[in-house]
Amino acid sequence: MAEGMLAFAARRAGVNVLLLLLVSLTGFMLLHATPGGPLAQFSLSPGMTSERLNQIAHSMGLDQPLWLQYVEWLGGLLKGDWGHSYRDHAPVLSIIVAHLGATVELGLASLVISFLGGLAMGLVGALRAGQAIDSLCSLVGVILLSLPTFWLGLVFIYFLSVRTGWFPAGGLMSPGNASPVDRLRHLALPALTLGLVSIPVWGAYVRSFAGDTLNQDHIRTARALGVPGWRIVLRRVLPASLLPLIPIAGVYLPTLLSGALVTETVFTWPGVGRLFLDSLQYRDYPVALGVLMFSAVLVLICSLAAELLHHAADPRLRA
Amino acid sequence: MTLLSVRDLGVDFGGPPIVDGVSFSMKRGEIVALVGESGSGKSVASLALMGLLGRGNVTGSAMLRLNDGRETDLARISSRERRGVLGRHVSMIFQDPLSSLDPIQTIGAQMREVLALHCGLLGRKAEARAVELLHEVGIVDPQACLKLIPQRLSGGMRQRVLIAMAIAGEPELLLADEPTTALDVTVQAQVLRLLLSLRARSGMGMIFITHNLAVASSITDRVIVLYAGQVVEDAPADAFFAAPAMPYSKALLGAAPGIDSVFGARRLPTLRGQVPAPGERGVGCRFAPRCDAMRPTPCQTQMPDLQNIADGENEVHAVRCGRWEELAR
Repeated sequence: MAEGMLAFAARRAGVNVLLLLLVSLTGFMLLHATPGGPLAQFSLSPGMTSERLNQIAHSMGLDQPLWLQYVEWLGGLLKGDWGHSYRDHAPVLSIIVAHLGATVELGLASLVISFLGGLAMGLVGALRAGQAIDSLCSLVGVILLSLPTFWLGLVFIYFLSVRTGWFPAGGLMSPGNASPVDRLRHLALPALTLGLVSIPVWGAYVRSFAGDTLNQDHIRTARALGVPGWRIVLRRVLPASLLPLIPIAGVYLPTLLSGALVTETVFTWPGVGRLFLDSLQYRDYPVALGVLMFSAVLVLICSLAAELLHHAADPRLRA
Repeated sequence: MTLLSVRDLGVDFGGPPIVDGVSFSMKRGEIVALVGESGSGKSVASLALMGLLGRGNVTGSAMLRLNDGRETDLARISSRERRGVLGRHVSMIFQDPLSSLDPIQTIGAQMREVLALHCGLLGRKAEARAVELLHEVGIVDPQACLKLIPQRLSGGMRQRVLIAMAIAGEPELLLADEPTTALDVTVQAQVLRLLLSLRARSGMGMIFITHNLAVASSITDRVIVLYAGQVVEDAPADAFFAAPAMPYSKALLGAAPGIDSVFGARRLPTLRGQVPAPGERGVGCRFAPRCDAMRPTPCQTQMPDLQNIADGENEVHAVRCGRWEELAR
């Protein structure tokens, strides 16, 4: 049993290394194929000569053949040297790590909101299938799902921040104020924005899984044995609906942790998503590629972890 | 003493009744077979007694006399009262043991749930009682079984576990809806023997729902035949299998495969046509369109009553046929 698990993990690890290589190659080539390039920002500087420009290109290694640049970059990646930002020369990894905290904070907070909201919405829909409240839930779901994130964010900023002043309009915290309350108040609007639009996604999954479970024969058996309804939901419907959510969460989580581009931009949230957009804007190749690779690694780690967790949690897969 | 008295039980889902004026009664410890083809209403009637229909209108009454002398009407108790009755006074086992247990909880967890609910047993005591119950239903290694999830058990073992859970609350009445249909023939016989021995030990009454007369004949005290939602014959098993009075019962018995039809040259007679849908019933006898003994009058003009044709004073052999006397001659 344990060996089977080990072989499974080893096989997955092999596939993952291949995938990462592929991501690094396509990412690198795509970025270098885009027009402009990192030298563009220097070429516009006043008094810039082509000689000086060549010098800069040489110092950044940009005059070498592309394949050599790729190999050197890849070698650095493997050694843990992810390169330095063109902008301020800081190491890429430490830049990403510096932005990770804000992203994790926002990601987890929005996950809690969307997951709990979706769980409640899905369970109510499944338990009252075909009734008015079920239709209401799907209607609310469709509305939430069709709200553009940037628009919802701006609406929140306008009504809950600009007009009323209840919440700050953006940023991680007030300058010089490190209290947890202040951080939570800054977190509230972006987390709500990101969480709300994801509620129907979880809601739809839970509604479907719980609905399937409720139709199974063993639920009828439990009723026939006099098990109260709340207990059937708690002990049978809930676990059976949560188990298949684990692999889905494994796919969903990295999209949160690699940064919510739109939400982070609207709320000037200093997370990985903002970092990625900025680095693209400045043609800061090392940082953009670093974020890309970081996201790819996250995706693979999360889905592997989710699969292992699923195996551990579902007794049927252990046999 | 009467255990259950069903009077004029009806079930409809907004249209014509699926179960139509069903009446019968059974004594304590009696095993009654509810027999009929698919569409006869036998499963709907039993689910209505359990309050497991979901939707649908239930009319009539089904008085259950509990061991402590109280009476409760299964056809109209509130869902709260019903939770106090199900599992403790009335239990049910179902056709498909493969899907009737929670696939992700161990047998032990599912049994402990029932034991806590109906016997107030927790921890070690619940464990011990679970082992006892599993032993009682013929599970060879109860301790090991408790730690398994249903997937690891055979169909026969799962049905035994389900029976153990159903009798944990020591109910007065057990409804069994085709409990052996999904099992191998050899396992069928074992489960039937188990049910008989449980009845002998605990004196619980049983309603055995089946379309299989061979299975019914091996276990039942009474046979109640349902056709198109109505009782068409209600007889002691001996009398029924010796001389069924209703043409439908005769046809059913004739169509049941026995040893002679499996090994002999006899071609199995089949019953032509099928049970009329609830909307397609005529005013006369509902079996008339398929009946070899049908005469335009009275069969097609008048619905025959269910009349008692038993000789003895306290016996019941009821039949719904306008021509039963002629046919008996």
